Amino acid sequence: MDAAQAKEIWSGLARAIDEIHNQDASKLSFEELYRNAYNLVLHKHGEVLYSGVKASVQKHLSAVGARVAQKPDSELLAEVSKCWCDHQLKMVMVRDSICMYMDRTYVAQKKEKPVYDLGLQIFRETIWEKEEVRGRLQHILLDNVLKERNGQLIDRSLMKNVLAMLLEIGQDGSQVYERDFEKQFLQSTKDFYRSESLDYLSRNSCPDYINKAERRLNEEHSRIINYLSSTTESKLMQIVETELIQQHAKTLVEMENSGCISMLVDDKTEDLRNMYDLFCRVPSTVDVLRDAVSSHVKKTGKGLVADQERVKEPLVFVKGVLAMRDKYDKIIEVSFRAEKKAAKKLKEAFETFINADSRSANYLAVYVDELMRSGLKGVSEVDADERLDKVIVIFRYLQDKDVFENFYKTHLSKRLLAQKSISDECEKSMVAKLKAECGYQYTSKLEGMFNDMSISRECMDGYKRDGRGGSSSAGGGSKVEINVDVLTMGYWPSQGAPMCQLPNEVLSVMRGFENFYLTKHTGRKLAWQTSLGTSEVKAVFGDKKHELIVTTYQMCILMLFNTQKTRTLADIKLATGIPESELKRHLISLCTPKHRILKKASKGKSISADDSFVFNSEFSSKYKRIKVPLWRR
Amino acid sequence: MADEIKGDSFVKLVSAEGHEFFVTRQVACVSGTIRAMLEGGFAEANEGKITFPEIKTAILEKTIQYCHYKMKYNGASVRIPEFPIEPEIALELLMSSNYLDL
Repeated sequence: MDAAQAKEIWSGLARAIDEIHNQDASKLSFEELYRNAYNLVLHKHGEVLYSGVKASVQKHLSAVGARVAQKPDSELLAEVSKCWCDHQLKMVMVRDSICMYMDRTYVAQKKEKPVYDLGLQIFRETIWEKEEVRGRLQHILLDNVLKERNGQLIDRSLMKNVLAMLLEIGQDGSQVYERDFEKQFLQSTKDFYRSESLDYLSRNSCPDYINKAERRLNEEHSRIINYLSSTTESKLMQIVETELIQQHAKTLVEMENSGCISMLVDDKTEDLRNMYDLFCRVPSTVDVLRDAVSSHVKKTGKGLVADQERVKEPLVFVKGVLAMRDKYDKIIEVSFRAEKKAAKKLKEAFETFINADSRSANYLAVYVDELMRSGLKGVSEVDADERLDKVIVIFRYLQDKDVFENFYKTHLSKRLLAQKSISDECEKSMVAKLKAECGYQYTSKLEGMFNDMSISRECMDGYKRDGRGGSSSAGGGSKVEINVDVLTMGYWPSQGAPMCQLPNEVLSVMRGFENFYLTKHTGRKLAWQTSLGTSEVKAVFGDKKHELIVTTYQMCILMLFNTQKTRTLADIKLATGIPESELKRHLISLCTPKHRILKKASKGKSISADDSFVFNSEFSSKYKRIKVPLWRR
Repeated sequence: MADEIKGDSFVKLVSAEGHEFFVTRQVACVSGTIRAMLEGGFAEANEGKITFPEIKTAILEKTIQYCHYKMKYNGASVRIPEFPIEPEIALELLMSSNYLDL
């Protein structure tokens, strides 16, 4: 085959390409085109075919480009989209029929561009990069996005098609989509959301903004799905998230009357959850939210501790803390979707304000004391257990567990010695819970206290069987009956108070017990704690007899009035040896309006240094047995 | 028209001597060239008939046999028997299979 023949064959093929471009291919024989092109390539005229096809496509696209350039803005997008579809269709036909064999052999050998890719390049050069097309089209594309953001409907399929075109004609490394569209698109997105978010923020509440931002993010995502390239997704979302969330996270959290704090105060858990969900898109902003919750908890907790100075009611404090915990647990569960980080932050906040003040431990111990003395009366086992569990919840926040143990021990000792516990079961269960939290060591002393109590009971039983404990005992015909609790030193809170001067009647009975005990347990030492005991005293007021239940100190004081009607403070102090502050407390308890067993010389609630007291024989009460309550400091 | 040429419909392959072979579409499409011819928007796709003025009957027949052979054993796990080729037609067969992208 010579050059002339080759040229002749080519001109036939060129005509066919024209016909394909004129949408009139159905009369053409694929086999003939293929055979001719095949023969050209087979006979070393591939160059003629390749450059011929290139020139031919160029010729057609130039004509198309000229036509497109004439279109007004309103039709440009649709026209380009249509041209692109046509081009793809025709290039496929040319490629398959005329160029299939060439692509397979000539192009591969010469490392030329395959015909279809060549078509893309020509399309880019002659249509997209045409001055009258590119600038206008870029503007139209961005404008359409803006229109859609402002709520107008646009033809998404046109957008999709043209953007897909940019992506495809840029795949030879020219990066048309990225260079000519994405860059400008991202910049305009940034500008749009920067100004919109500021504007919206200044005129709306925090929850409104959160909803709006969430909607905007979803809209942008649907833009990705509907017409933007998926490669734009991460860049676009990052910009939108930065502008909508990151830039304003602090402002949103701190927004007055609708921000995080007011959501917490008003229990707006749903709103807070929306906020959390939104912030989760930018993980660093969630810290702002967590910190806000944490600092609010600290502030509220501090207020709760400070409140106690006025109210002096540990119950309110513990209930307040428990209520706070319930509330914030729910917030973490619902609003923070049970996130671990937030739960940890919350725990730290509780620890901070609870441990900031050592009174917290005392309040908790007093709270348990209250439960054990009366709070758990008539409460079912399950409910009681639940309440004690809540105590443990707060207990866990305490850093210095020993401080709590000390307070607890003091209260427990008073309960045990005065037999004020409602239920042994509850006491034991509380100790078991503490043991479960802190181990065997922690509760060994508490358990020792319980142990002492039960051993003491056995001991007293033995003492009474021995015949020395009864009032009718042969050992001296004493009218005094005693009940002794033998406590192991070290288990119990140490009492600094020295033993007071007891009446002789009592002393003799005490000696009797000492003899009994020390013969059974040689080598032990007994020390009497007169500051902890209680006594029952029979008293005669005029013609009425009453039984008074008083402290041991008070018993000693009252006994003094058997021998003398009037006693001065100094007199009583000398006779009993009770430390002055304790003495005053016990004395004043005997002079209250309700239990006026003694009459005080001075007026008012305090006792002056030179005060004197006289036995009130006119005292009366409708009860036979009267418990005289001790003043609490 | 479009309905006839899908599935198991037959297409007509015509040799240089005018001999007509009826082959199922599926078998014919083993050849990349024939498949492109039947799927492109050209005359062949409409008519379901392809004429090969440069392929002799004997060669076209052998080519079609090969299409059957290839379809049967492509990806098969059984032992694949040899495809017999007579030496005197070997060169022409090679040319045509290059042409037909087999």
